[in-house]
Amino acid sequence: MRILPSSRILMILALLSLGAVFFFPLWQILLDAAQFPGGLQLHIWVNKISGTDKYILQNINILNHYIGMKSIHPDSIPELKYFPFIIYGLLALGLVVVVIDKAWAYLSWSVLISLLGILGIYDFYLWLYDYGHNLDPTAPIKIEGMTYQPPLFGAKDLLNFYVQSYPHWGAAFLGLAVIIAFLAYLKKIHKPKIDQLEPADLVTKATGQSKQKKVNNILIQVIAGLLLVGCGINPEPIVFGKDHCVYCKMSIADPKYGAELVTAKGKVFKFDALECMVPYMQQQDKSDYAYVLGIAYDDPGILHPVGSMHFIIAEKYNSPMGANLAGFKNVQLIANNPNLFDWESLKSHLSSRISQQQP
Amino acid sequence: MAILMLASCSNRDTRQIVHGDAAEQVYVPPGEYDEFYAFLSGGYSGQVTVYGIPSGRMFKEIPVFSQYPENGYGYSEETKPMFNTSYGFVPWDDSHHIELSQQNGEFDGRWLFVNGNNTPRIARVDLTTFETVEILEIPDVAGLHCAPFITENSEYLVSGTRFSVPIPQKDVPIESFKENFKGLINYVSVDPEHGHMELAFQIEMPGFNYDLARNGKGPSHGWSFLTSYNSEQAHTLLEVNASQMDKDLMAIINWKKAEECLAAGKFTERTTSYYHNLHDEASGIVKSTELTTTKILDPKECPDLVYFIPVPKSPHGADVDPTGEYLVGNGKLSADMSVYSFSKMMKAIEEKNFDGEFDGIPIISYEAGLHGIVQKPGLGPLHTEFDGRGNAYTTFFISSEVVKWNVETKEILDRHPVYYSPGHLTIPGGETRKPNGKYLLAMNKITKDRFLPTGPEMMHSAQLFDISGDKMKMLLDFPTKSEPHYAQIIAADMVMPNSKKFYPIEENTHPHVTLGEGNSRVERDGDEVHVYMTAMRSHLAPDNIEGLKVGDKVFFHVTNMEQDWDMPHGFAMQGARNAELLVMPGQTRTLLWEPQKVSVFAFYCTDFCSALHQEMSGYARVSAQGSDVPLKWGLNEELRESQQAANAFYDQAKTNAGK
Repeated sequence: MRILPSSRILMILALLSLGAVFFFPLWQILLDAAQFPGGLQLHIWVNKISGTDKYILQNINILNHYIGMKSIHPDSIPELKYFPFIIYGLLALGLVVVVIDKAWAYLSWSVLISLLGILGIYDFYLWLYDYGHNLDPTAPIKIEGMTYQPPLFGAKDLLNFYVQSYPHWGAAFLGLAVIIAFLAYLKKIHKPKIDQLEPADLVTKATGQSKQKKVNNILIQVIAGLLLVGCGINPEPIVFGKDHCVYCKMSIADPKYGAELVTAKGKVFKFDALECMVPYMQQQDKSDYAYVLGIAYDDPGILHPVGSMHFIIAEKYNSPMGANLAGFKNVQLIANNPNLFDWESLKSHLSSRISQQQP
Repeated sequence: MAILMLASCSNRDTRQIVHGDAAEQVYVPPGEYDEFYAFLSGGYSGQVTVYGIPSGRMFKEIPVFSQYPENGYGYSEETKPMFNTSYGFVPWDDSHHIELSQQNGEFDGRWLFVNGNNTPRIARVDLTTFETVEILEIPDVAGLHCAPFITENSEYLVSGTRFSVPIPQKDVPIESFKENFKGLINYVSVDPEHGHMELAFQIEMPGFNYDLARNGKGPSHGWSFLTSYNSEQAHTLLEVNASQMDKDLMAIINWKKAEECLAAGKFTERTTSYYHNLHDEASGIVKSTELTTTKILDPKECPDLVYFIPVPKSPHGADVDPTGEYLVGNGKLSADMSVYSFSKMMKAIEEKNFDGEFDGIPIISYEAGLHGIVQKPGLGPLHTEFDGRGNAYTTFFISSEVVKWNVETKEILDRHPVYYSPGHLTIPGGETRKPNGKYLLAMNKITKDRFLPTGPEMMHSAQLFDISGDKMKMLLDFPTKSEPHYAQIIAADMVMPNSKKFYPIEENTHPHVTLGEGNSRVERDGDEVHVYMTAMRSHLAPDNIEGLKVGDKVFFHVTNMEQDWDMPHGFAMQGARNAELLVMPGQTRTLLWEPQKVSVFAFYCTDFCSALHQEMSGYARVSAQGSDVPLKWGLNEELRESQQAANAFYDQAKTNAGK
């Protein structure tokens, strides 16, 4: 932290980073099919839509007309016209912030740009939804119940196309602008305290730290979290009947049970039961997981952070590996049970059982 | 017993001579590419075929000298003029020798030139589109076999007449050959930027039959070497009467001298007639021009322009090695092969070491110009190429083999049987200064039992050899279309990166282009009807046309609106006494249809373009002559008949096309 330059310089860097959205696409959608060697790439910019070559929209529109999707005409998308002005406005405001050089100004600017960014993504999602759902009833190819909304983030099979949608450099620079502006804010308000922090604090988890560092570390965690999201470190939903447990190698079939680990590098490990994940974690002897998640019995198929869950061991829960163990998000449902654990106590309970079994 | 032994000696069974990893060497796995393009002349098909080496897979037939109903070449209004000659529309020819363009004695991958033997012509194929873009007729020659040999910077394409004829043509007895018949050697210049061909000059030579040629390179740059036969000047039963003398004559031409004579005005201009047909890529239209004058050089008026040197009986190839110093004369009927030395020939000229003259042209003493003789290499040597490591490879037609020998020592190093009777052979860059001595392709004249039989007529056979080692190794047989006389092989990376995927529609300057579906329309002008039609997955616009009449000339100008790779659309009209159109993305092509009877005719796209290709069709209603059915058209709408709207659009389209 102490190597960071002044808030003003940080803010200028944030503005440069924001300006980069005019030079790089914000988002990219890649359509892959057998007949299109190399795939079709669609690049969404703040002010235009481009792609593999200048004929990309014509070629995508030709394909889309078979399934009744509307033609994409950049001229008829108003956002492409007024978004650049929003960016100009933010750049101008940013310059004002540099001049004012006040903590509240840095914070307001970064909150404003974050909000606008989220609104922009939501708007993009609405366009995708509209293109994917608003289908011409006279389309040559109609498939009952089929819609063609490309994913906002991630990959999806749409007929013969495998569609991948991810942020491009423009979005990364936009995210970077938010982070740098936020750092400018931190630098302003917590100047002396932040300077005492070692760079390593950005990475290590905040466990048992001193009280005065706690506030800072929470902020740092937020930034680290943003960074993680920016790098695409995310949990993946478990596909029941298809995914396999990395520990016991059995297929994950019961949506009432299951667990998932995401490492700090973004690797995802899936488990058919909590009683498989705990010994696995013990074997790995690692602590820097980005996510430790469990399936809630009262919310089947959905992963929750284990810290927010409660756990119960009782005969009525036939968990896949025979530990009779289930996770709950709503503690009220199991409140009066004696064998009730939180995550830490569950871990120690299970590991004592494991060590009893192992010798 | 003797018969049995003979039978077992029949070398049909090549399994005995294909060794080791031959299969692996020619196997190109799915999704991977061949290392080389091979361009083979199509012989009597008049076309050129494109193959991959080492796999021997055929990629394309490029229509050149023959109409090609498969894509409408020579049938569409745009491409018909490509076939104009001083004899009228000639829809076929016999293509013989491929020459790729060169810079500094190496292939540059820009153009391909090929000759039409029957009605003398030279064509240029653009290697970015693999389409014939230019054909130039050569006047006052007959049988342009000896063509189109290129100089090392593509300055000229050199050709010589196969049959000498009266010049100018006139009504004379054939037996007055010696008195009236002459042979022309022609120099066609190539524009270094566009490749456009122009007949620069012709040299009037004694009436021999000129057969094959090569140009000098390196030290011998500026000279051409053309073999001839029939120095006996026979005009009947040539197989006997033109084979009487022990030696024929090779013409040696100093074309730099020719340029001097031209500059000095030592030429005569003769009035004649020949056609130059040039394709314009932006409009897709071939423009045909009749030319009427040619510059003739007479060796008597321009001393030091031409020499002769004797070559053993009935030579075929005259092949210059990569250093430019040695020249191989292949006498088809001779037992030995003569190798000449360029520097010795130059010395003999300087010392006037001549052995008489023919029609005033000095004949260099055979011995004075000779580097040496390859003793008894085989029977019927035809053509030689080089591997760049000092070795030459010669095909032997009669003994059916390829022989490898050392140019410097004239020593025979290896021989390999070929099935059967090879004509030319080719090595990648084998005629250039820098051959790639990896493969050799022998193009065989006789096929017989090489493949599953297909009745009396069959494809020709080519055989691929690995020549990277000391001994030649046979790798592969593959069938070739019609009769490839010669081929050239070029590294794929010289051509592949330049290959176009489609034509940008904004560059389309065709006067009848339809830019946009809403602008499709039908216009009548007397009994001519112009249909401005667009093709796009998966419909033609308009697809309903009414008001056509028997006796109309209906021009379908079909513009393919696609801008994607491999998305051609076809257009075929029931009963049209014509071919189909195959229209590439961004291109406009025109089909002329003259409906003969009252009927509703169906038309459709012939190239399976999408899952709804079968639906890409339409109807044209033809009424009786004089009927009052109005001209109407449309696509999924009430038929339109607003001529005014159509004209307004046409003006707009022209403005856009001009941008």
